Amino acid sequence: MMVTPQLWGYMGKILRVNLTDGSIVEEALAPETADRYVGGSGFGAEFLYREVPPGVEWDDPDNRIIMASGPLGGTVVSGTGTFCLVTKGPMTNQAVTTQANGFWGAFLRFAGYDALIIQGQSPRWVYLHIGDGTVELKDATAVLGKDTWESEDAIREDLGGTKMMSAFGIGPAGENLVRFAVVAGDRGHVCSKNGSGAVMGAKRLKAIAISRTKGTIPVFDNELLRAKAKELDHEAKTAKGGLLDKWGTGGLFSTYALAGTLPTKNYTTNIFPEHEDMNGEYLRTHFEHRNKACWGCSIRHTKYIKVTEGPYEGYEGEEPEYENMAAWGSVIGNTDAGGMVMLTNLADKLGMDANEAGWTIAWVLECYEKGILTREDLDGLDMRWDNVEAVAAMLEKISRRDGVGDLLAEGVMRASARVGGEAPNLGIYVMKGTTPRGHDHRAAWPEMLDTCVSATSTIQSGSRLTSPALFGHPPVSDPFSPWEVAGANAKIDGWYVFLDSLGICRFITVHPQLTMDCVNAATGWNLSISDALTIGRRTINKLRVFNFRHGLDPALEVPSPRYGSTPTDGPAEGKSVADHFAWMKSFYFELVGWDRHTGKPLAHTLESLDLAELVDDLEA
Amino acid sequence: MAQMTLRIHRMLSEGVEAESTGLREIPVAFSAGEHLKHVVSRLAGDDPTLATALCGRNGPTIRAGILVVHNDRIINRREYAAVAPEDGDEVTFLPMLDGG
Repeated sequence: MMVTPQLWGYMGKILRVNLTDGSIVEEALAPETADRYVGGSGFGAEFLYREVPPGVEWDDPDNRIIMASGPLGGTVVSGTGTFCLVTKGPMTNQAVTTQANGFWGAFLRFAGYDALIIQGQSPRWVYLHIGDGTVELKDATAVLGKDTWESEDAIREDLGGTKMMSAFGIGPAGENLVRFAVVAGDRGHVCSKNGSGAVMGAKRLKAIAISRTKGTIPVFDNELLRAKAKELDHEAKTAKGGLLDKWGTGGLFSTYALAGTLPTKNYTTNIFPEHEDMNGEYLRTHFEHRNKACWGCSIRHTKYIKVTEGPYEGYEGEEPEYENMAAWGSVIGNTDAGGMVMLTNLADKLGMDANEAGWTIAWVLECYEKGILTREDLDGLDMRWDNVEAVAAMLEKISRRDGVGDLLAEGVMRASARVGGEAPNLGIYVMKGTTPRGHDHRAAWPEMLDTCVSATSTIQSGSRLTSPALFGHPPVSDPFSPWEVAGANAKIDGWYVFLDSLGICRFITVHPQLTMDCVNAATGWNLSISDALTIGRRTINKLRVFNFRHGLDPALEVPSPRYGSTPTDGPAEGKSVADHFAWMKSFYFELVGWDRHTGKPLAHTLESLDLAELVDDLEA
Repeated sequence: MAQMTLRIHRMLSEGVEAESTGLREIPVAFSAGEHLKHVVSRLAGDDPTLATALCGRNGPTIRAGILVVHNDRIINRREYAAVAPEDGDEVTFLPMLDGG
């Protein structure tokens, strides 16, 4: 009898759900797919490329949603409830890989699957439940219209009150196809980029719930994995001076303000003096907290919070992470920490990306100040800087595409184009539709370049998150040197995307070699860091070819006028990225093996990544 | 003697104690005409934690990967070498990274 070799680190199965006809099938995971793409973002790129041909738009039933964990998912390693969602999204009408932490990725693996592929469009609103040996589509009528937290509760009740369950789904924004709708779950964890929630809404899929079953992950050397996981855990806890462990991602809020990267009032200034009254330490020393952990994580960098002062005293929700703090604090000129907490939770519950929602609202506030948009244009809302209640009301309108909310639900690039005149020059976006993260990239050129050229619809090289020094390269000495910036991004390109293939939180994988030790202990492989970079670059190049086939115009891989403007005050005053961006981008293209002018991967680049089959696709 | 303030971010070295902004503030006296690089070098010579945080293995030269902000303006390494501080100046040393 033929015996299938054990694929260590994998459950060996993919679950495919066709919403059009309701069919649900299990497919074997091909070992070569695991070898070449590992999991998560890599699996998503492979299946998206294979199954979504040019001409299939983001809201087409033939679009796919791929949600995948990786070989570390659900293991003893900290923070391995993470998964990656890959689809073709509405902000760019190109590929997106976007990951979320929590429990879902681990529970998917315990249920016996490495990945879930969703296709088709349901004739009625449904949610998917993956249980102990059962997978079924269930009527979602009772859940419809509920926010992301209420949906979790309603589904839990519908499933008999089970406590051990993870559900990721959409809120009103996703149901109403807001272009920057998210897929959210586990009380505040979010696949946030490129409107993945709108894609789910177009498929009339409200949520995907997975019960905690008793499956275990078949790892190659459990004892070694435990030992390496413990070492990695220690590194993660002490990284960044222990800031993450102590104050959460908000522990960096003041650091960004001092470095000129805290985005303030729609980039109209680079100075936010109130940062000390809103940073991570302030939140944890002035407000009440209780722990909120992801699957198997000892860091527990997120918390539940209760506001204990100011107009929102008594408000309870999830503690804002840095990106939320920026969007609902400095970006909109709000100086009340309680208001920041409230808006964070409101946006999450309505199911919209904090970054794009923040940029859109900030653009409205500036347009209102300048008289480009009037109170009448804004359905009577007094959209002044710092008017938290008006912002909350506008978010509600956006989520339901109510009145002017219908325009703003398109995101700042499209909304500003419709308003016309000076308005498009005030918005913060990449000209191809990508949403920048919540930083002032005019003082962070590596991430601006990364955001503009990325194939993932968010950052791709992550060079500001992962120091080149970890890979033996000299760290950047001048953050405003085009030569150094392009070089730093190119040198570590692939690592960040590789991490998204593993099923683990990025805040754990702070030590590249220990991360690889864990991967090898789980799978029995002998991958080096260099191998990991190659795998990540394979995924990046596959997504880039996908994007070219789906209409990518590299001329649009540039910042909008405001996004690429020169700061007029603050630490980066006078630093002009616009003077250098074109050269920096071309140099980066050259360094990563893409044509310097067209940005297309060169044939020898694709061949060196074992992607020779894509050469003809790119030229077709 | 004139006085300036150096502010060192705790992420630059495990031993750096800090305030809520993540910074340790150090008031430093300096002589007229003394360059910033010499002030830092002198300070690092007396404090191994600061030497590790700012100078690494490069001796008195400020190590790469550090963002230097002089009176709320980011300066590059060449400018750093030329700074002759004035009374009341503030110089902040931050890690060059991101997160969140």
